[in-house]
Order: sequence, then C-alpha cells, then structure tokens
Amino acid sequence: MKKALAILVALTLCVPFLFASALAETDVQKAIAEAASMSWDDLLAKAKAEIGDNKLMIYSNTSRVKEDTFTAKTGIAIETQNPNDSQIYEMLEQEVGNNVYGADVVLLQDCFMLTNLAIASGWLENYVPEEYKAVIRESDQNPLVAVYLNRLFFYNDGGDKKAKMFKNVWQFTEPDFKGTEFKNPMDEKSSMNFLISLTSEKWQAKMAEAYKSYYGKDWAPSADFDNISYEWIYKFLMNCTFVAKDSTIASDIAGGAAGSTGLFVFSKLRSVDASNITVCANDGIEGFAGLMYPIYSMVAANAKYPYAACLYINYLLSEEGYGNIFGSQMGTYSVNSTIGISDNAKTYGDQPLSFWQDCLVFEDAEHVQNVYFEAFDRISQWCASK
Amino acid sequence: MPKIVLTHVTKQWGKFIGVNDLNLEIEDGSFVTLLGSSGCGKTTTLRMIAGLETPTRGEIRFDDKIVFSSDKNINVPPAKREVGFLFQNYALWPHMTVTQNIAFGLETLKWKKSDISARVQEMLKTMRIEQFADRYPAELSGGQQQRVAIARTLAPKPRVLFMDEPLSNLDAKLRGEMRTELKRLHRDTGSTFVYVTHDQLEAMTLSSKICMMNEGMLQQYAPPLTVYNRPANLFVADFVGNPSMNIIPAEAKKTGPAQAEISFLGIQASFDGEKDFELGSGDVAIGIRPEFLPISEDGDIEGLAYSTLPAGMETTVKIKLGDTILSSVVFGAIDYETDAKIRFSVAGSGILLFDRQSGKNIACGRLSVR
Amino acid sequence: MNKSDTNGKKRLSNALYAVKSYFSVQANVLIVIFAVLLLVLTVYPMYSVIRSALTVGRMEAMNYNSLLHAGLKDGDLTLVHFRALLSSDVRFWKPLWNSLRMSAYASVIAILVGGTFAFLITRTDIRFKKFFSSVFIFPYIMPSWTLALVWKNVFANSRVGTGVIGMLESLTGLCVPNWVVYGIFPCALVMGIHYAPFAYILIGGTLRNMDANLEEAATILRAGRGRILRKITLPIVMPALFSTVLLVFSSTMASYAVPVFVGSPGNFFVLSTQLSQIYKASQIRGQAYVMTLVLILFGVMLLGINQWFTGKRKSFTTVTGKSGQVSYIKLGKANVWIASALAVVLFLIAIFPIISFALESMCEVQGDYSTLTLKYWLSREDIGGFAVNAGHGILFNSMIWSALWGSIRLSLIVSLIVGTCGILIGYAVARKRGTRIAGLVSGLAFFPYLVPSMAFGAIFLAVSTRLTFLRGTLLLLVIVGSIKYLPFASRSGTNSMMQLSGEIEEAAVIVGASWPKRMLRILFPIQKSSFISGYLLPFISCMRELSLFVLLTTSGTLITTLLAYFDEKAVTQMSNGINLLIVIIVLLVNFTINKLTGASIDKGVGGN
Repeated sequence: MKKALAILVALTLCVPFLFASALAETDVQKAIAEAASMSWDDLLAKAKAEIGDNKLMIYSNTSRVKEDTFTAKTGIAIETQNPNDSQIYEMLEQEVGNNVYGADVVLLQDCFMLTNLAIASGWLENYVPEEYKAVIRESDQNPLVAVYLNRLFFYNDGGDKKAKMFKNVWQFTEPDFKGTEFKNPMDEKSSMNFLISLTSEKWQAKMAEAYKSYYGKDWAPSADFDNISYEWIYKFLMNCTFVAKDSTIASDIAGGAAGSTGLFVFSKLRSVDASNITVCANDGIEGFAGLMYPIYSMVAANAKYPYAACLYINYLLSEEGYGNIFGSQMGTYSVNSTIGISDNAKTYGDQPLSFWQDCLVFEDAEHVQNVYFEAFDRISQWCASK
Repeated sequence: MPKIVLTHVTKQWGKFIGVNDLNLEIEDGSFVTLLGSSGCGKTTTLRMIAGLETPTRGEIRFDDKIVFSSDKNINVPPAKREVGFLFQNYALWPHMTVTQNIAFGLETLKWKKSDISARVQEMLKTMRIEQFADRYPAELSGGQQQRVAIARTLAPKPRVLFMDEPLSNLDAKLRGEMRTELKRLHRDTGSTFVYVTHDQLEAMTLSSKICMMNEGMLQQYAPPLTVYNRPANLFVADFVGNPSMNIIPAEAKKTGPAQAEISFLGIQASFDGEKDFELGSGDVAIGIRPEFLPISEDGDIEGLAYSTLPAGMETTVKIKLGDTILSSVVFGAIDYETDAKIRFSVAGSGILLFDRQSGKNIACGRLSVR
Repeated sequence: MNKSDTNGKKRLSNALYAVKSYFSVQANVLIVIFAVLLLVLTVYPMYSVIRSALTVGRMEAMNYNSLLHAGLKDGDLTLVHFRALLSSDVRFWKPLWNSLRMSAYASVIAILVGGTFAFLITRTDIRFKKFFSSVFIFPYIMPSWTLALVWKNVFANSRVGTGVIGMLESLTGLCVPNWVVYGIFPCALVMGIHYAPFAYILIGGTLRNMDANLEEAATILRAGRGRILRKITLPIVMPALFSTVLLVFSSTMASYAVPVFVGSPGNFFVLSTQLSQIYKASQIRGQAYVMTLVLILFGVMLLGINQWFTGKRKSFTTVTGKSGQVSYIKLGKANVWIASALAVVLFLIAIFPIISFALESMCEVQGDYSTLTLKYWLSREDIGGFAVNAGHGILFNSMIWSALWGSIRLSLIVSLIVGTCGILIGYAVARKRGTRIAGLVSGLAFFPYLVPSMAFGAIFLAVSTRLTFLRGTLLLLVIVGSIKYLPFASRSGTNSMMQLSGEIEEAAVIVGASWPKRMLRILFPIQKSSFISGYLLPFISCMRELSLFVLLTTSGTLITTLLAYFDEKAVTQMSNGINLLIVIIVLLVNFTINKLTGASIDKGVGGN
C-alpha cells in the first residue's frame, strides 16, 4: 500500500516535468523555425491540430488586439489580457521565468526592456515569417515590430487653419507657450524612449539646425548642457504640463484656448471635436513634430501553442489582419510596407509611414541601448523636480 | 438550594490584584450583600461566582460540587451553574420584545412551548408588567426595564440569583419600592441572593449577611446589625451608618482588667470593656455612633452647635468640639441656633475602641466622662 | 524521583487544562485562528516586499553598475535601493512630504464634512434625512477620480491650463486661480469628500448609539454648545475619529488616480504616483518597494496610535441595552436653509457625476451635447467607425454582460467571506480587548490596506506561479480580494462589537445560549445594520477594483478589466457607460439589501 502510494506520489511529481520538457524552449524554437517557411494553410492546419478547442493566449499592452476576426477566419479562439508594459514584463518574469505557462503571443513596447530583459532572459522568441521578410525593413525584423504608433504635437488654431502657430520645436520651451500637455515619461515608456532617442547625434544635429533657425544663432554647450537635446528636454519638461491620459489631452486642446498645445496619440483625435485642432507636422514644423514608437510581437518562450502563435503573427502582418485589427484608425502603421493607411485615416490628414520618417523622432533602439540608464536617470530626476 | 463556598479565591490582572485571597461561605437561601466602594472587587467576586470571570487561584463550590478549582482544573461554565444574573444596565436585548426577552432563556433550556408561555405569563404577572408584554425595551421606562430584567433573570428559576447594583440606575422612590420587592422576592422564591452594592443603606436593609470589602480584601462578613454595632475595623465602622460614626483619636492606658483611662479632645474618661482587651501602644481611636451622643442640658461635655439638619423624624446635629466636628442624632425635630452652646453626653454600652495603627477593633464598652 | 515524576505529570495536566480551558472560550479560538491565518497571509507578502527592497534583479544590477559602478550581480543582497532613494530629494523626500500633507488635510476634511453631516443627521431635526443619508455615500461608491473629473469640469477656466472653460466660468464668468484647479488643494479636498462617507458611517454610528443624555447632562451643567462638543461628544466619538483618520490617511497616502488627475498638472507629486512610476521602471523597481515599506511604516505608526488608544479601557461601550432618549436639536428656521445648502452640495458631489457619466456615454463627440446618441447603449450591431471591436451597444454587448456577471460573482463571494470574517474578528478583538493577541489580530487585519494594490497583485501573481493550481482561477481572485478588503470589514466589525457591552452577551451566556446562538440571535440582530455595512463595503470596493486584479485575470473576466480595455481604446462613451453601470449596480445592491434586510451602508447611522 505504502509502496503504491509512493509510486503514485513520484508519478504525480513527474507529471510537471513531463510537461515541462514538452514545453522546453527548443520545441518553441523548432516550431518557429518550421512555421517561418510554411504557407498560411499549412500553418493553419498545424496550429489547429495543436490547439484544438483551447484558446490562444495573448498578452498585449494595446487593447486593440482583442477581436474575433482572427477566430472567424481560423476557428481558433483567442483570449487576451491587457496589462501595461511593466506588468507584461513582470508577468513574463514570473511565468516564463518559472516555466509556468501564461501566454503564447506577447505584444509589447519598449525596445530597451525587450532586448535587455525579455530577450536576454530568454522569455521571448522572435518570429519572422519568410513571406514577409522582403516587405519589412531589416531593422524592424529582430525583434519583429508589428505596428508603429505615433504621438504628435497638436495645437488649437482658434479656427484659423492657416495660423501656423508652431514653426519650430524650440517654441515649446519658451515661457510664452508654457503648458504643453504631455504624458509623463515616467508613466509612458514611449515618452521616455522618445526623449532618450532625441539625444542621439542625428537628432542633436537637427535640433541645432532648428535652434539656429529659431534664435538666429548657433547653439553653444554650457556648463549645464553639453548636448543640445538635453537642453531642449530639460526646458520642455519644465515648461510642459503632465496629464495622465491621451484622451484628456485631446479634449483639453479641442476645448481650450487658441494656442494651447499637447502631444497625444493621433487616433484620439477622433473622439473629440477636431475642428480647431491642427497637427504641427502639417505646418512643417522645424525640428520634429512628434514621436513614433513600435509595438513588437513576440512568441513566449514557453508558449503552449507555438504554431498558433506564429499563425497569429502572420495574421497581424497580413493586409487582412492588419486591416481588421488596426486598419481603420489613424496613427497606426503596419511594418508591412505593402500596406498603406486607410481611407478613414486619410480624412484626418494621416500620412503613410514614409512621410513620418523624417519629421518624427523614432524610437532608436541602438542609441537607447547605449545611453539608457544615464539618460533615464537624468530625465526621471527632472520629471520629479518640476 | 446550594451553599456557596469560596476558598482562597484570588483574581489578578497582571500585577493588579482585584480580589485577594477571599474566603466566604454563602448560606443556602441567604441574602448576601457584597458591599464596598467602587473598585473594591465586589463585582469581580460576583462575576467569578457566576462563572463570567475566571479566578486566578482558589476554589468555588456550590454545595459539594466544585464549580471552579485552580488546583483540580475545573471550571464549570456559567450556564451549568444554574444561576441568574441581573446586570447593572439590565442588558435587555433591544431587538426583542419583553416577552421574547423573558422567553429566550427558557427556549435555550428547551422548555416546552406551553410551559414557556405559562412561565412568561407568570413572570409578567409577578413583576406587574403584563401590559408591556409586546413592547420593546426602548419603549419602557427605567423602572419598567428593571422589572423586565428581573423577570428575565428569574424565569428559568435559578438556584442562585446574582445582582450587580441593580437599583443604581433608578430614582430614589423607585429604588425604595424595588428594595421592598426584592426582599419579598427573596422570601417568595427562597433562592439564594447575592447582591452587589455600594449603598450601605441597601446592604443594611436587604441582606441577611453583609460581606464588606475594600481593595480586594474581605473586611468583615457578618449580619448587618453586627457590622453596624461591632464593625471589625475602622474602615467598616466608617463605611456603614449614616451619618457616619464619630471617630476620635485618643490616648488610652490600661488601668485594670477590661478597664482603661482614655483622654481625647482634652477630655478625660474611663472605659469599661465588655471583656478584657489588649491595648497595644495605647494609640487608639474611639468610635461613637451618632445616636450614642445624646444632647441634654445636663450633658457632660459642652460644644457649639455647628449645624443642625432636621429630617423630620430625627435631627442630625453637628457639634463643634475644639477643631473636631461630631455628629449626634436626636429623635424628633429640634433646631439649634448656629454656634449656640449645647451640652451632650456619651451614652450606651456600644462605644468602640480601635487600634489606630492596625485599624482593628479592640474593645466595646461604656465610656464615662469625668 | 517519584515525586518529581508526579510533579511533571501534574504540570503537564495543568498545562493541558490551561490550553483546554483557554480554547473553551470561543473568542479565544477565533482570535488564535485569525492570528495564525493573518500571520501567514501577511508574513509572505511582507517577506516579498522586504526581499525586493533588499535585492537587485537583472535590470537593477545593470542600472546601478552603469550609474554607480556598484559591481552588483543579479540577486545580490544590497542596500543600494535605500541609498539611491533616500538620497533623492525630488524622488522621495519632497513627494513624501506632499503625501503627508495631502493625507492630513484629507483626513481633516473627511472628518469635518462627514462628521458635520453625521451630526446633522443623528442629532438634529433636519429634513429629508433618509434621502440625504443615502445620497451622501455616493461619493464613496463612485471611483475617487470621478469627483476629480467633476472638479476639473466645474473649475477649469480660461486662465488655467489649456483654457478649457468650465461650468463655473461659463455660468458666472468667475475664474478661480490655478491652485484651486490643480495641486494639493483639489487633491486633498477630493480625497476628503470621497472618504467623508467613512467618517459619516463611523462617527454617525457612534453618535446614534450614544445616549443623548450624555450631552444633555452637560447642557444642564450649563456647558455651551462648543464646550459640549469638545468635552463630551468629541471624546466619545474619538475612537470613531481615530478609525476614520486611520482609514482616510492611509487610503489617501496610497491613492493614485486623484493625484494623477488633479495633482500632476499642478506639478504636485506625491509618494504614490512616484511609487507607481518607479515601479514601472524595472531597473529601479526595488526603490518602489522601499517606498512601499515607507507607506507600511506610516500605516503601522497610525495603527499603533489607534491601538494605544483602544488599548486604554476608555469605554467604547455605548450600547448598553438600556435605551437613551433621543432628542433632536431643533434647527427651526435655519432648517430649510441648511437642508437646501446640503442638497446643492450633495447634488454636486453625488448626483452630478452620475449625470455626467450618462451624458458622456451618449455624446458622439466628447463634451458636445448636440451630438447625443443612444447608439452606444442600444446598438444591436457592432459599433462601427473608429470604435473597432467594441462590440454591440452596452445593453446588448455579451462581453460586457459576462464581465459584469464575473465582477458581481467575485464581489459577492469576497464580500460574504470578508464580511463574515470581519464580524468574527470584531467579536474576538472586542472580547479580548486590551490583550496583546487582540492587538496583533486587529493590526494584522489592517495590514493588507497598507500594501499598494499594485504590489499586492504582483505578490499574488508570484504566489500563483508557485501554486499553479491557483492560476487564473476564481479562487485566486477570491483569496486576493478577501485579504485586500479584510481591513474594511474587520474595522466595521470591531467598531460595532466594541459598542456592544459585554453584559448583552453575558445575559445570554448565563441562560446557557450556545455561542452560535448568541451570535445569530443576540449580537448579529442588534448590530445588524453595521454588520451588513461590513458586507457592503468590500462588495463596492471589489466591484470597482482594477489594479489588484489586472495581473491575475484576463481582460474579459471582470467589468473593470474590460473597462480598462475600452478606456485604452478610447471608446469613452463605452467606458463612461460602464462606469455608470457599475455605480448603478452598486446602488441597486445597496437599495435591495435595504429593502430586504432593512439595513444599508447609510442606515446604520440613523437615516430614518
């Protein structure tokens, strides 16, 4: 009797190991390697066989992912959880870190944490389908960006569409234009990475140009700032107002006085009366007109249904999938260069990704990687000392 | 009906001793009063007997049955002691009607429904509260609530009834009435009553025995008249009686068997004890009840009428003698002019001598002023 | 030898007897059970917090190595978080000072507002009591930030921020200065009003049960109104005041949404917002745990003061079973004026937010009331346009209904568990008042309150990766919710038990009523209304909790996680509508319980 019990206990203890080994990284990696070259139909068949009636679990920092067109198309049910960025990393640490299954697909932002925390810790695997390799820029492939979102400088033009109130980004640092509404970089990773990206040499040069154009003299380093971008960042942070939500910023500007400014996600424009709002980018502002940040799509290293996860990423990259999930909104741009922006978005003055390339500060993974800690520390001190 | 015996009962909270080594025997069917000022341990003692409080040490027996013993590890829960408890604030359950309040205890005892309603009716009648049967406690006056509380306590026919200052929340007239009724009730039920009060008059008038306590210690346990006439010590002497006993510091010298010379307030007197006594240091206090200081024109001692307090039936006269104020009670109504000279004597055989150091009563006898 | 043997036996049997007799008292059994349970349930989270504050993770090590050349490795034990944080004026000391000020002001405001209201309701003949007292608790039922939004909508003006014109300016042309709209003033005021119902419930409960004779006695001694208030009423309601301060102060210290909405735009930063920001940054997260420890420390200090106060046997016994005559202060002619003023204030803080939810859920364009539509409520088709994947209108939206049911089910279970535990804890603590173990239990029961929801959720996420059978289950949510809301119920349970004099129970002990019978037939019925509020409070809080559960469950499970989804999608109509739905449901539950049991949150206080 005792012996039987002991065996039973031993067996029970072994079960997790059996599962664990079945879920070992190599299997997910193998599935990813295989899936990359599969056709949609083959991958679909494989995924369906693998997942059966279970649900594909998706962690996503953007809620737009929750939808059922994928299920309608493939018959694979999905479930989503929408924690914020830091929460996703926390969940990955607890779950993948302890080899407990949580998610299959993970959509998240913040290039620095993704590379240095999630990928370096082996929590996430990169997957790029062969068929899309040609249409996605090399720099967006590892890790794979699913979609770009932007945050733009807007202002209330008081009804005069030709006001051209903001011609230069240095204006935002001037006392006359105090109170630009901005999401606190400490709360919003894309804000933080935008400021850090701005300190790169490339942007220093552009900022110097804008400086000269605005002040009519060359910028010179001072005891406080040896980097022009830091000077702008400091002055901008001291000059701006921190507001918690994009939708609040949008409505504050829509209902505010002429000349009130703010930086918010393009897509929020649709929920307010936009008749008095002008996008600085359209006025050809010198310096930059806002920021652009990527949302990455990755496969969890201990995914239970790696084929289905890959299938989902294929769907995200496809014209149909992108269209269903993000397509109609302005301010979202597929990394798949064959996909343009929707007609709906165009009515709000949206432009294709290529247009934004030069006038927005893109999250610069390489530069962020180099200066992250120091830059973060400086900026965070400034944010708190307002 | 049981006899209740407390042996070496002590209750301690940390370093504070609430009740100190108390030995007490409560006779079957008696009406015992625990008397003392607040904080003297009387309520604690009552609650320990009822089982609501656990003694730190000692033993409590109901007849031969030990209900509590620290040595034998026995502690019978209150419900099994078959006692009734009347709380100071009545503790009527505000969400139940008078009937429900009275019936509750009977229901827990699993009485038959018909018996319960009969008993409730009987209690309502005894306590003369029939008309309030369906009211809630909040709708009753203090006196009515008191009656309900008594009815509720008596309904299960407890062997012993404990009462914790039950009359203290009533007005004087009502208190007088309830006193009469309690004494009647004691007779009618034949139960043992243990009663806590700080009112010496209540204790005197109600009890068959008074247990006088102070600072957790038993001072005297005796019938009321004994406590009154032969107080065991100065504390008891002072506490019992209204107006209080005159207590006068004095010097005493033994002059023979049961005899002594005493000087107090500049007066020389001789004392004849009932029986022989030991004087100790001679540093004594004389205790004279006010009724033993009769005022008459041919009195031995002259004093001033400090204040006169006629109460109709009797008059309390405060007499100033030197720096001391003495009380005297005279039958009938008299009124002295303030500061008039009056003469009085020390009369009777109930004059007490106390040792001033220990406070203990030394002797009782006559005092003849010279 | 023999003798010592029997001595030993004797000692053993004595010890056994002591244990047996100790546990023959139900209050002792309960207090020990809860002491053990709470120790386990608090020691682990506490251990997690301390460990995280004293070790560095991968990102933290990289960060400190890069900034300070600290030479740390992943998992190292270090004080670096403490050093880094405590040396930062702007990150720690300034926000700490701000938090303390804000919480102190909020407590004062809550007590002034709630206490005055409680006094009006319980001690005067003011009109419409029932209506007022049920409306007064709305600000607590609604999420705290709703009031912050209303504040902004009313007082925003052309001289503040972007110059959005608020109600006050559009009606009167009056422009209030910036500090009225943003900063510490609105933060403290909004938090104070949000928690004023606490003060009302706690203080009103005591006032109602307090014998009016106590005040009248003083009147007869010719004490003036002010003197009576100071010398008689205040000392008697002091325990309730302390409880209120304890709850309001710690809640405000930990509050996040309000300082973000009306604090940050005025450059007013507090510890909780700094905590959340630092928590979001993996490379310095340990500092957030240091802040958590600081929050806990302050809570413990307050708790200590509270305990020291309850420990003194200053009698809390206000219900004696002997009823006092209640006589109301006649307001006379002032009645109408006071009642009207109250009605206006209540409309603004309690009714207006609900109306604005309703309106916002029907505006096609935010704030533009010419675009009213019912489509976000009634559409049987997918709400098209930009509200991608929002599903049908709220009333026909299966996602919303299933999430709503999920929330209701969870809240019901949690409130049943928590409310019952609260009563039992209250009973045990009240009976064992003044003992160390009672102090321990009531202290521990309060502990979960001091750990920020965010950190609490994270701790239990970690628990669920060790105890995998809990993962994603309702049980996990129930456990987390129950622990988190125990403080409410245990306070209300303790308060109401403290008010019951021991004699009330002893009168039943004497006649041999068993413990369950005493609880069910005597104690519970007497304090029914306040006990039931012990069930209602966790229900309400659970219905609108997000940060506690967001890590532990999927987005469609609970109405709040779904709300976050709609919020993030900026379908403001839907999120406002869902908010309205939550408020209505809570009010309905309150109303239903009122009808069924005659009790409600407000009623325990004298609303009728």
